Amino acid sequence: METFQTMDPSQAWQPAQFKKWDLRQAGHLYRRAAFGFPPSRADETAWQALQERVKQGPEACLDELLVKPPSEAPSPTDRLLDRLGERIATENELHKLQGWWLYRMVYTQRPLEERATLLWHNHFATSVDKVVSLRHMLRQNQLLRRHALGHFPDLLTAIGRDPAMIIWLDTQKNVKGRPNENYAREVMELFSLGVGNYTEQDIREAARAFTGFTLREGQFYFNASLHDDGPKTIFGQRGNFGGDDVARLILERPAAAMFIAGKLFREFVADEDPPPALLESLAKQLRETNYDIHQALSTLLRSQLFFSPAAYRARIKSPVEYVVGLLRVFESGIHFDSVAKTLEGLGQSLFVPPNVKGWDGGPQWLNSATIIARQNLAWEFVQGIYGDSDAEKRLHAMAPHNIKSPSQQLALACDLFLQGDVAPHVRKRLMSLAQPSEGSVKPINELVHLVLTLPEYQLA
Amino acid sequence: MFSRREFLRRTLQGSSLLAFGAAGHLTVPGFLAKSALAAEPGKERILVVVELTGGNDGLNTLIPFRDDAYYKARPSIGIPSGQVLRLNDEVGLPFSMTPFENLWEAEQLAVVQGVGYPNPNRSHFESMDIWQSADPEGRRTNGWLARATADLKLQPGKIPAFHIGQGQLPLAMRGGTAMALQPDKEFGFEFDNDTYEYGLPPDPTDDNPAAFVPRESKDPTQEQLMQELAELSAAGRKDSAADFTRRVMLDTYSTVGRLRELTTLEFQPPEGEFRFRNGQVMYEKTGLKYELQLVARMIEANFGARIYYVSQDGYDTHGDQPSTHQELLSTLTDSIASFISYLEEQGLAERVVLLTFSEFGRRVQENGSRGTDHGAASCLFVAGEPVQAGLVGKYPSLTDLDDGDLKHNVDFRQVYATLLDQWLEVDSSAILGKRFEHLPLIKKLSEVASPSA
Repeated sequence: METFQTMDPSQAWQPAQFKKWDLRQAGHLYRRAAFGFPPSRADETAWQALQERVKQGPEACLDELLVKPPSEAPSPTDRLLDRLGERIATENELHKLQGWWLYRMVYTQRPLEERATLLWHNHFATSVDKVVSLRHMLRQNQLLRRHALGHFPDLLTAIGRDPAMIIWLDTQKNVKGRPNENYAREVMELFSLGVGNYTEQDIREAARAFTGFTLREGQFYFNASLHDDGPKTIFGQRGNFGGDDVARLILERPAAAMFIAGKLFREFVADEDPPPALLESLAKQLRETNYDIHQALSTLLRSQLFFSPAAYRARIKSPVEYVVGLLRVFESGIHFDSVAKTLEGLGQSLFVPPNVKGWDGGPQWLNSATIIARQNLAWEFVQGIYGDSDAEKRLHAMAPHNIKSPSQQLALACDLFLQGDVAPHVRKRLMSLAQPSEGSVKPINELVHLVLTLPEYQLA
Repeated sequence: MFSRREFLRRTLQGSSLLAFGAAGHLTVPGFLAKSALAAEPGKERILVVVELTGGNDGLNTLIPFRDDAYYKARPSIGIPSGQVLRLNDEVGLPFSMTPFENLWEAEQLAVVQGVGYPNPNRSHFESMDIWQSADPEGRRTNGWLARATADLKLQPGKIPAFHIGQGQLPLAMRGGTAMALQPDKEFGFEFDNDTYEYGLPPDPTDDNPAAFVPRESKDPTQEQLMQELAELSAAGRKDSAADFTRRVMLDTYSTVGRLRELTTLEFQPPEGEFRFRNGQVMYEKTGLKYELQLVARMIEANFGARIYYVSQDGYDTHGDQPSTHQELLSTLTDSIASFISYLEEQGLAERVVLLTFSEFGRRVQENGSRGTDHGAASCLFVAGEPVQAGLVGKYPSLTDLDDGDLKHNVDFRQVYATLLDQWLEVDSSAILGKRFEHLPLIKKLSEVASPSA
């Protein structure tokens, strides 16, 4: 099999040519870009939605996923969700705000925007543990969403003035004559360049540039009297730089585009670091488009590389992807707050990343505790504990005509959850449980649970 | 200690052979089957690593109380010489570390001074990666302990290394065979309750083997099927995400039952306390003390691992350091001292060496917020019965500094090399890339009741 190491970088980012478009390929695209297939609507069940995506072909699917947010007024749904979030943030209960975001990820009309928002939450990893205020956390979340598919320089500049970030990385303590390097260091090390692409002096000088960034009554405030307006030398350039200049200076560095391209790769393609030569083309595009994230993702999601066997099931689902994927099928009558309470045990409590580096992800998502937590959660879902129907009822509601026997129910579950990716021996064993020659028939809920516990289901 | 029978039963119970044997699927996961170097059960030497996360201030841990430069650099957070537990005429520990004074007197504590590495990195993540990969150049992407696991002598079918704690598997243990446990989580599947009589898993204190037979023996349980299907599922290319996922699942399934035993609490009426099934009193199910206690019980129950890894977070003391830092050191030393004393009671102390480390020390000069910023060289501790007690290395000068930081006299890889070669009995030069001079940390074999003889 061709690996990322052996791929031709000049070909890898070219649009994929599809000889066929089946459940596996559609599944791959929607798992990565949209937490899975769309949930059921009044006029279309999730099963119909899935079949529709297979029928309409790759171009229509990609266009649907890459839809841009309305440029003027937000849609009524978005407005409703925004208002709901603001009300919930005043209640100061973390699980409710987490539940709100999960709800948004399930029902959004622009799932890629939520996927990217989740990426930026992990990139600019800020924890309510230190920030305390959920309103600040919500505002940061809205900021990340607003810029999620926009131009990265706007996002990087805005995050430097974000109240949650200012509290999180001690920007307020960074004042003229007594610089605190916390934000200046992390903005380079973790948010934009990566280690080895800046010097200790760049950090010290950038910290001076950020002096005076503070909060007043919960809003960003520039306190000129605490700002060090003397000349600074950052990346060899000299000037009386302020905080916003730092973002600009950083993004002029070629390393920044490589760093962001690498982030997109790991979030959407595979749990591994690709060879730099392979990333270079995406990095170049980022530089030439003023870091247009939407355009970069458009290139990525359409590419040969994205649809290559090397990328297929090559990422472990993050807990949030895992949960939202389940919710998109089991969404009927769900108590989102209760589901949110399971996130911590799964290893990814939204708004509470372990530190500023965020969740490492990849293989680190899975350990004995999180595997037990996933298998227990899957059990609760198939039993209908969080919503109003168990697996059997959900399957029946989605495809009443397809289901006559336990083995048909099981086949439907394999397509719905795993897009057919069930190894022959596994399928055979599962089928033998649905129609046993001896022993008792396994209830369909328990069979669906077994499908959800397969290693393949943990992979996006 | 267990009787031999009890010991065997516990060992077997934890293996997938017996636990899942009722359904007739006698499969051992492939990675468990290979174990070239067999160790004798209950005799392995064990290394416990305690990570102090955030950069421990070595100067307020091992206090150079005779040095004026110390008090000059630390006008508001320096620890007065009258509040020092003296180890000799030069250095001592703060009162908060009293439990270590006892270890010191019992000659079970080595204090290594001025530990670091060339061109120190002051980023938490980078420096932590350097310590954990044992590669200051940052080229290695796997951990020093993970590399050691490949060469360790093990009982057949045992997992060589465990990380116990909230977070993810630390880099030190990535890239080899190691398992991460979150001790405050329930080690059980919700769907296996009806497998057993009265809806309860078997009671290990009951000597009746019938109690171990699941109630319905004809149909496989959900847990058994889950394991069987994971084994049948496509493994994919070696080291692929699919392969990794399958392996970690099978690891989990083969261990979960035994961990459930060790972490299950019961209300024991005579004392009116919650206790573990071995009778030990419960501590809070989080924190270093609990985690080390779990390690002790895993050793006692013959988990067969050679390496355990735990962490204590909070050492990034940029502001209002004194109370926070002393609290941390108090928890640290109390947890370690009770860990060692429990091992002594069980007759296991001769098999265990404990190492502490932190990613860096702090600046010599305190900062403007009664705290300290990221520095370089620091001290570390090696504790346990097999340890050659004493001060190792030289205290770094507080006036001859490198950019405001202490210069190291001991390379941390010397500590690693000593423990790898002399304690874990694996070749350190293969693991660390070259040979490092040993330090006097482990008693000479003749002085230790050699457990691996």
